[in-house]
Amino acid sequence: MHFLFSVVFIFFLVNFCLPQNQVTSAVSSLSQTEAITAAVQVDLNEVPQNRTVTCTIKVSWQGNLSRYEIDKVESPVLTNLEEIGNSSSNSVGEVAGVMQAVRTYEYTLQPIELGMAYIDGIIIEYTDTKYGETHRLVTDRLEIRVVTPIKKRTLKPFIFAASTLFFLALVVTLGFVFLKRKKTREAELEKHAQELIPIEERYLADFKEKVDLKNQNVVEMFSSLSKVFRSYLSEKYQIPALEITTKEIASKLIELAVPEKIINEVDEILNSCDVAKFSGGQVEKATLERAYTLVEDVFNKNKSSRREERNRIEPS
Amino acid sequence: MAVDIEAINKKIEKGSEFVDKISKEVAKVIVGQKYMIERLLIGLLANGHILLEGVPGLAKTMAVKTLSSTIRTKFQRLQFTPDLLPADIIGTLIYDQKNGKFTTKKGPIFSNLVLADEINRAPAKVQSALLEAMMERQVTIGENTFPLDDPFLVLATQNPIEQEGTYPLPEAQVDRFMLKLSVGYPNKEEELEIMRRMTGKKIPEVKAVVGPKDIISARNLVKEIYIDEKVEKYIIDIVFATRNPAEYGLDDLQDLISFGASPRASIFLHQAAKAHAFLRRRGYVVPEDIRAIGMDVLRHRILVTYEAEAEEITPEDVVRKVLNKIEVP
Repeated sequence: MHFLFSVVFIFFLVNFCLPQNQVTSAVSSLSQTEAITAAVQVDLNEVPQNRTVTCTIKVSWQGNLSRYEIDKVESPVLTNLEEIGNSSSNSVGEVAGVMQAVRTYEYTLQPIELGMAYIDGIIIEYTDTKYGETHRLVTDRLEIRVVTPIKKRTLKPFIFAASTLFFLALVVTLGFVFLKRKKTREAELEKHAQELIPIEERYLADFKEKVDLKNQNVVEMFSSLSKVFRSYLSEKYQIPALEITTKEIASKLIELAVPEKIINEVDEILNSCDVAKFSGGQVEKATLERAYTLVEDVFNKNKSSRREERNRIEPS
Repeated sequence: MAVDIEAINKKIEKGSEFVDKISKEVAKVIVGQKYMIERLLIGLLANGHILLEGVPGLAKTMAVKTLSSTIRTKFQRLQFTPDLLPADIIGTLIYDQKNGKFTTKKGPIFSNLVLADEINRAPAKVQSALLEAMMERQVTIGENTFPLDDPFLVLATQNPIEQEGTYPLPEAQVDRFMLKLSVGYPNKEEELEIMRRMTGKKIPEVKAVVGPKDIISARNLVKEIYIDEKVEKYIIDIVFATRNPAEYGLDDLQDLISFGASPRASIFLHQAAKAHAFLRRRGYVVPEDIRAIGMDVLRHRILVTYEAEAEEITPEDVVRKVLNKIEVP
């Protein structure tokens, strides 16, 4: 009864319960209560060409554990498959109060080419110690479909993209740094060139361009004169001459120990500008001419004092 | 149209003679404090009330008293206390038993120069009564409205260090003062002179050298002083920079100012600058006048944010930054 149940169970297992895996079995006909069985199965019915499939053979029996001795398990005969490894293991356990021995043989198989692959029946030779007889179990033939290989997931594309990006970023950064350095160098050169030109010369050119003695709008000319001259004072003496008053400018120049003659001239220029700009009255052209001459005079004096200073520093 | 600056200058030269006389008389008693005396004169000439702030003992009250002594006008000193009532200042109606009628008893505010000493010691209703009279230059007692004398000038003092039992003036009311002066300590030489003068045998007496008519005619002259459009725009730029500092390149002040200066600031800056030019015997206003008076006109009209307070940035710092940033015309 027990034997019959085992056979039915294995049949049921093979046909219905494991649709993904092929499972076949072989049962000895020598014994009924302590029958030895062999089952073979593969973990995949369809295997990509670049993957492996595992074929597992399980030989088991119940009752007297020393009754059978497995003599030989022949290597599987393979079609379109290649054995790349095998292993075996033993286990003993208790099933429903009855002792059971299980021998497991595993073969790792590599498909060779696309199409069908087969594992022919595997012959298991064993000895029934009770009767001293030698018997064979033969498993069923299994078939496996070898399908298109799965593309390997590699880091190569990512590395390629990353390195490309890195390279591009490097190129952009280097380009940016290069341009910035070029700009800075140009600015420095320009600054150096500007420094070589006396500040007075620059402002004198600006002054002559903006203040026209022939212009009839004297007040407007005074405004332009004041603006240029205050800008010059700002740069020359590093004072906020555009934001402070005439009186404050004079105080700052005293603090900076500017020669008294220059201070007096600056004061006169700016005061005449203030009168012209804010008194609302008529300003004589002569006043503008006087202021104009004074501005030129301040520029010339400062230019020559600068030259003298430079000659003193660089006697060669 | 051209302005006859020469004519204005001549008028000013003549009309400002009393300024030297006043300064000379005041200098008999007050040592140093030129800044304060000059601002008091500006208030007098521009018809603007002045709030003086400073620690005790800096001759705030004495300066005002001395100034009033040089002018032949009515002077009243009001010591503000917590129990002062509005009627104590403006006056009240008194029942006359003889004729069975109410008669008006005018208060001390009916004077030319009023010294409101320690104004922040009186409660809000008293401050309100005074400040209302300051603005409207008239007082209503019962059913009758009485105009105040001309010139009418309120010079108020307050002490910044004693906050216990004081009623700080609300910002809206402080705005009514043309100038708020911050009176500082004298220097060593000045203090030595003060010490000698005040411990001497006789404290110098001050003579009245000018009458109310002189003040009124000087005020009319001040009004004649020419102010160019460029300078007017400069005033507007300064006031607007306190409202929208970012527009004037003062981004760092944007989050520090809660409320900028009111239009009253522009008006007072205009008037005070003219008075400053008058004191310099000049018939026209220059940016120097604006910069000289700007701090005193603006410092009490700017409200700084909590953030600014946390960073110990005062309205004075804000005004200084604005004045140093706006380009002179």
